[in-house]
Amino acid sequence: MTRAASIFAGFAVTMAAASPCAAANVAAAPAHAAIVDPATLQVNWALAQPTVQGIPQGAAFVGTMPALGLGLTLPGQARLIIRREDDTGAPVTAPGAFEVAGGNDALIIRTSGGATLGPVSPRTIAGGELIGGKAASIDVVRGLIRAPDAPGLPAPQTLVVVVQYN
Amino acid sequence: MKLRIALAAAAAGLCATSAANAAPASANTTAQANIVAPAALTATRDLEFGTVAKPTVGTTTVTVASAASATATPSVSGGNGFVPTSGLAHAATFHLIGTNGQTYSITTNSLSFTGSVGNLTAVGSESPVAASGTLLTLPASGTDDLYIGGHFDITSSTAVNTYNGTLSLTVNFN
Repeated sequence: MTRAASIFAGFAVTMAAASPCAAANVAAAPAHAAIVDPATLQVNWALAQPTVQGIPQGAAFVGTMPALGLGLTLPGQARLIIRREDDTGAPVTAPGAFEVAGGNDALIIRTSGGATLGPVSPRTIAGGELIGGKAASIDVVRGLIRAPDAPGLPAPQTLVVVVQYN
Repeated sequence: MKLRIALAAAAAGLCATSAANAAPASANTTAQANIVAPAALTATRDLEFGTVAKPTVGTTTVTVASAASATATPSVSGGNGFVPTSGLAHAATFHLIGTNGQTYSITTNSLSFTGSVGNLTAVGSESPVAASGTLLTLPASGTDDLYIGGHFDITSSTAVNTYNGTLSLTVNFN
């Protein structure tokens, strides 16, 4: 093979290796994260004397119920967990009301049936006897809730209370 | 020098042929063309962290995993931050269109938020997960989805806000 032929052959091999050509494709996806303040709880518990335990995610009320009246302010995370410790079969009750404070506002949350709760979503909060379980947790948060018709844009502050029976 | 002479001779030969050979000549050969759709990459779903309550103490790392679920819950570690409402998060989805067995490489996979300075730290994206087949190789269908999550750190000094950002992905199709 002459030198010229070998050069042409090398060029052909190079072109073959490069085909198909690599093409860069770029795409971007929007990202969203809503950071909110944790609220505080003022719990007025008429018929219970639970043990208050600090847990990484808030405060847990664990104890034998019912007992004496109780009023507590819980700074930090607004997650209230009610858990029964004894095994007497007596009903376990959720607190009749608790106060949520965060930022410049405060709101009394009543768990009794028929109470008017104000700007709370969901508006129905189960209260009284915990049906079908021995424990419940209540999550409260005050923050910016994105308007459904304008994703990505902050809406006025909304208080959200979530009750989850375990 | 020999090479220059050879090339010059070849060029001269071509010119001589076109000038001197006036008689028409024809020949047939076969031609093939394989038409394929151009490779494409599109973002089809946002990266959503949902709502996160910032910690009062410590640093909380918030992570959305690279997964298909549209109702995921971010994992939190460190500090006492928490996710008040579960099921509001999901990873971003990128749709790949190529050919059967086509390979590709990922050269950029980055997450950034506007206004994150001093508020969101250690912002980053998670490793991609392919919906079908093997990562970096398209399946027989020639299309695939990539799920990509992200993570960041927040503290008690993080400003309450809805942070908007961008997850950027660059793919090189081979």
